[in-house]
This record gives sequence, C-alpha cells and structure tokens, in this order.
Amino acid sequence: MSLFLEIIVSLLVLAGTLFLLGGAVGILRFPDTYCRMHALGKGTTMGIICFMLAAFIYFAWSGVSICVQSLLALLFIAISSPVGGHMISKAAYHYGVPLWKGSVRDDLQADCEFIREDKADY
Amino acid sequence: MSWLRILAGEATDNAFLDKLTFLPICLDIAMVICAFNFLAFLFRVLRGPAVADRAVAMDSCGTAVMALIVIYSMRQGTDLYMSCVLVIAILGFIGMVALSKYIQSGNIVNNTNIILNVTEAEDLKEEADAAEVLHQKMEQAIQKTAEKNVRNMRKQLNRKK
Repeated sequence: MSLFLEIIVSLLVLAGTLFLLGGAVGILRFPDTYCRMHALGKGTTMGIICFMLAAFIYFAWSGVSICVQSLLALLFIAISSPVGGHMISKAAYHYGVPLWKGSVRDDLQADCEFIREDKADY
Repeated sequence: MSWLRILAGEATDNAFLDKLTFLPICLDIAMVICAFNFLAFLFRVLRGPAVADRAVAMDSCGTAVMALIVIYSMRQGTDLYMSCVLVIAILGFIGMVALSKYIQSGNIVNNTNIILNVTEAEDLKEEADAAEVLHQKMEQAIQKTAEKNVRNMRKQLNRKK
C-alpha cells in the first residue's frame, strides 16, 4: 500500500512538472500572443491540479492532516484560471494586438469590424 | 536522503520522507524544473511585446511559485504553507481581472466608455444619426424664425413709411 501511494504521488508530481514545463516551452517558443495564452492556460491549470492532488494524497498518507486548503486551491484554480485567460485574450483582441500571419481563421472579426483595428505598436 | 537536501542543508529533517525511496528524487527534479519554468515566465515578462503577454506571464509566475511552495511543504512535512497557495491563487485571479479591464478600456473602475458588442455599437451609431438629424432640424427652424422676423420688420418699416 505504501509503495502504491508513493508511486501515485510521484507520478502526480512528475505529471504536474511536465505540464508546467509544457507551458514554459510554449511561452518561450510560440509566435503569437494568443498562442502563448493558449499554451499557458492549459499547462498551468493542469499542472497545479496535479500538484494539489499530490499534496493532498501525500499529507493524508503521511498522517500530517487532511489538507482542505489544497482541495480548495484546486477547485478555485480550475474555475478561475480559464476565465482569466479568456478575459485577458478578449481584452488583447479588443485593444488591437495583431494575430500571427499564419493564423487561418478569425471568427471574432465579423463582430468587431468597426470597433477594432490592428495596431502596429502594441 | 536526496542530494539537493545535502546541498541546501535544510533545518528540519523530515523522517517520513527519508524512509521513502524515489519520492525525494522526484521532488528534487520537480523543484529544479519549476525553477526553470519560473525563469522562462520571467523572460516573457521582460521580453513580451504586448501588455497582455506580460500580464499572463506574471500570473504564470504566480503559478510556478505555487508549485514551488507545494513541493517545499511536502519536503518539510507540514501543511502550513498551503494557505499561502490559496491566497496566491485568489490574488492572481483578481489581478488578472483588473488587468484585463485596464487593457480593454484604459480604466479599471469606470467602464461606461467600453463598446462591448455589435448591437451596442449600432445603437450608439443610431443615436448619433438621430442627434445629427435633430441638429439639422434645429438649424432649419432657427433660419425660418429669422426669416419671419426679417419679414415682420420689413412690413413694419413699410407701414411707417
């Protein structure tokens, strides 16, 4: 049982690290503001969820306490992080940050045609 | 016993963690990679061309710090640091919302000047057109009254002659 729990906690910690690393590589390598937000939104949310689950299991297993804060933080991050990412990307679009030149499709353009124009210096 | 613990020389010994075989090594690897992630996000904060880039990268810096705190509290064997994680999460979300408002309108509290969608913009356009029509009507009325006044004055002058 102990070995099983240790394997689970280790896998969760490594998975969270991998997700965060994916977000970091995405923010270093992607060409566009919206692409970077896409990488960060997924990567950080999943990474923190994995870390919080690992911490909860570890503390319950080691007999320290039932750590409710980690579950609360998990719930709050899972709700708030995608919402914040969407708000920021919508604000950037309305402000006029241009899309990458390789972008294929822009559905919001028809709605924001006479509000927004691409700014050269953003 | 993990090599990072020997290197850093921590104050407290976590007896529970020392008995395990590969979890301390995993925690060390995760700590190093999370530090690298923090540096990557910080690079984007310094470099990023748009304000939104910097905002999102700063929020992700908070996320990396949360991960580091979780790893550290697991290494120390206390759950006292988890409240800090919760507080950082909430403050990060509030900061994101405030920054998005600021980017969109240049103003956080008063958002009457934001044009939110197409229908509102069309309404504003119609109001502007109606105001223009009203202005033209007013000018015509003023011209008419002025002409009437001129005519009346001329009539009075003719009567006096």
